[in-house]
Amino acid sequence: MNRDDFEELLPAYLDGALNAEQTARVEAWLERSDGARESLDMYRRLDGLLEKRREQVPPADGFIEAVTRRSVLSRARRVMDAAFSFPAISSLLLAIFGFTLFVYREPITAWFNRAQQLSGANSQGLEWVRKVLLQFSGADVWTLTAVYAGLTVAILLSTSLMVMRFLRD
Amino acid sequence: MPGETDRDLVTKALQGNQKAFRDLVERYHSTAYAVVRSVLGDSNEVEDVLQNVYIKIYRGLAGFRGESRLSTWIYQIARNEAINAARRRRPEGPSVDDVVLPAGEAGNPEAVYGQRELGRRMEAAMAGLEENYRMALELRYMGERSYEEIAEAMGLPIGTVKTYVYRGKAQLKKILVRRHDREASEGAR
Repeated sequence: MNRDDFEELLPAYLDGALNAEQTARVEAWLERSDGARESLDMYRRLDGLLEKRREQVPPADGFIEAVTRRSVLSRARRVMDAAFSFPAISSLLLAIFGFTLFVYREPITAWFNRAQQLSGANSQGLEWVRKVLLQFSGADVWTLTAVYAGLTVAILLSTSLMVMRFLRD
Repeated sequence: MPGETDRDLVTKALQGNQKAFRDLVERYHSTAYAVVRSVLGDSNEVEDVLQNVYIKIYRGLAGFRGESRLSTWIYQIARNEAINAARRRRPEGPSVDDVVLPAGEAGNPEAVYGQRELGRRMEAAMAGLEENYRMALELRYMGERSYEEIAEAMGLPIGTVKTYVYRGKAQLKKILVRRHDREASEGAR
């Protein structure tokens, strides 16, 4: 074994990880070489320096607080993002639109009838809108409510699922 | 809660128990710190990256299936986060001189340099180590982990981890000696 081979064994020697034969050879080398003893001494000092670096580890407390704060903040932000996401806004608008349509069904229908009479327009599109409105105004209250409530609930549910997924991620 | 297993703490943390999460962080703080430091070195980014690591752990606990050890999982998260942070920043590293490692005469580092300077040189020397050696050394000394725990976290056999630690020390010594010799010869001119 040359000096480099012995050198490589020194950290393991200090760690008590060598077998009996290797230990004996390293000790014999240490006995006959000043450089070997100097080298061993430096490994000891190196161990000390490495252990000293442990003092640089910051306390965990600050991190836990920061993480909790950031997690709560980001969770709140994600809820806001989700709440103002496109499906949520669409469902809300749909609900408002349905409610308005239902409450003001008669004046709206009357206004359309009047508008059509005044303008004399008889386009297919306008006629279709008029029919739909007439249908709405004549439909059963509970059917209309059920249809809108169902639509709103379906969209809100899908939005909630998205929110849940945001939170889980 | 030293008596509680990782699994207990994870379960409680998932039930919203903040103290259980705090205990988990405290248990693996030095490991996560050592891993991030081994990738980023002595950098201002370390603490920010560490916060991201804990946030990922916090959010990811629900998805932690226990197929690997918690320490391995945390090690992976910390390493990935640190590597991503390192990629985002400039390709800066130790100078070539710091990592060229011819054998030199042994010296007494503390006698040659003051403590602060020595600390700086140690950081530079650590940065010059091969990544596996540096990681193993950081986990061993900064993370205060046993060889078994390091092996578990890194997913390597214990023998390999020991080899990394011993070779890392040998390489570290060579770097420091090399710098010492170079400075001594420059001073003599």
